[in-house]
Amino acid sequence: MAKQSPVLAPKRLFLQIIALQASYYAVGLLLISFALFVAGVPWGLHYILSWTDVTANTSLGWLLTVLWLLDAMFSVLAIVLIVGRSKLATDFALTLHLINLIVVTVYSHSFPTSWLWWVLQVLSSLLTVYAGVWASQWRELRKTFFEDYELVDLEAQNS
Amino acid sequence: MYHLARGLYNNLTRREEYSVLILGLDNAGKTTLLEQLSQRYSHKARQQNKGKDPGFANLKDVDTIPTIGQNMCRIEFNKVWLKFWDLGGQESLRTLWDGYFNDAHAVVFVVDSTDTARIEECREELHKIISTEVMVSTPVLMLANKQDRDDCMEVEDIKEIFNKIAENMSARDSRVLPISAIDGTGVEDASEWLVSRIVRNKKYKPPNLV
Ligand SMILES: Nc1nc2c(ncn2[C@@H]2O[C@H](COP(=O)(O)OP(=O)(O)OP(=O)(O)O)[C@@H](O)[C@H]2O)c(=O)[nH]1
Ligand SMILES: [Mg+2]
Repeated sequence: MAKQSPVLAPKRLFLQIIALQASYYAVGLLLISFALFVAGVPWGLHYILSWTDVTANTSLGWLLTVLWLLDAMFSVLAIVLIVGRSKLATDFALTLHLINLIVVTVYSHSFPTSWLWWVLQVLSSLLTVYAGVWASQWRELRKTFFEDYELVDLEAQNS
Repeated sequence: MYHLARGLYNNLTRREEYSVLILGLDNAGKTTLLEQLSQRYSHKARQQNKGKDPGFANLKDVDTIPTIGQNMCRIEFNKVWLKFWDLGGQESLRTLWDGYFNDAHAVVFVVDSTDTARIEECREELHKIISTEVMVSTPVLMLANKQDRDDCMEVEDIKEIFNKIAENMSARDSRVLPISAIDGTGVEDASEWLVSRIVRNKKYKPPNLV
């Protein structure tokens, strides 16, 4: 007879989205604060939450771009650790960037118009999507490999 | 976000549904009862006679053949969704019944009130059903069918026969009700009783979400 169809629990998905977003900004905060400190630039929250500083006119803009790409690589790790499912990785990676667009728009009271910021988002999205799917798949394979291995092991013990 | 939206949407559109088994000897009128239920309370039937009284579907001319596999129909009664399973009642097919027991929220046991000769066989079958472990907390409704026929047994007599087993059914919900599956008499009352007991039993047998 009809069994309950497996629906992903929305609450869990929601918490995962929040956790991913938080880790993205947390790592960004660390990276950028450190860079600002080394460069001797006074710290400001807008470096993290605004798009206006990511501009091609200043060397700091290029530095922020590189740091955000670095942050994207950490997000790949976060996707694997927090979500861990290759089928969901694309969704989560794109959601991260969509929410980021909303956050910077709200924080700066304006829609991003810096072309470098948009290039960064495209690169970052591609990176997190592809690396996120690939890394999750890799982990899934490894997991089943180890599960199979354990089963074989158990069977060997039983016989 | 896509998966989150889809999950929320699924949660909103899911509804609770209970499975009911229609059992009984062959020729008892199970398939006729299922047809009667679907013509009155199925979603399609409700849309066809919108607002109007469902009336009495007369199934005298509806030809039924002995059921071999299973028939299924979904109905809504008093805002509760029920999924009825009608199985074959021939002796060789009764062994298939217990495959459905696990998922059943209630059992409707149909008795042919004109078949005096086999009333004892009915009793034995019913006894087998209710003494199954998984059926312990399942409401059982016995329907004395074919009450439109003159040669039918009195409901009181049928009650007496079944109450003997009902006694060892401890605290279980059970009831004997008269119906005529062909002209629909009593079907509404039977549905009413069934729904009220299933809902009351919700804690022990939670509905399926579909
Ligand atoms: N007079 C009368 N005849 C009925 C009634 N209900 C069913 N019948 C007749 O009884 C016969 C058997 O009905 P079915 O519904 O096919 O019986 P069943 O229980 O499904 O039989 P199986 O599928 O073999 O288990 C049919 O000829 C029906 O017309 C009723 O309420 N009154
Ligand atoms: Mg039948």
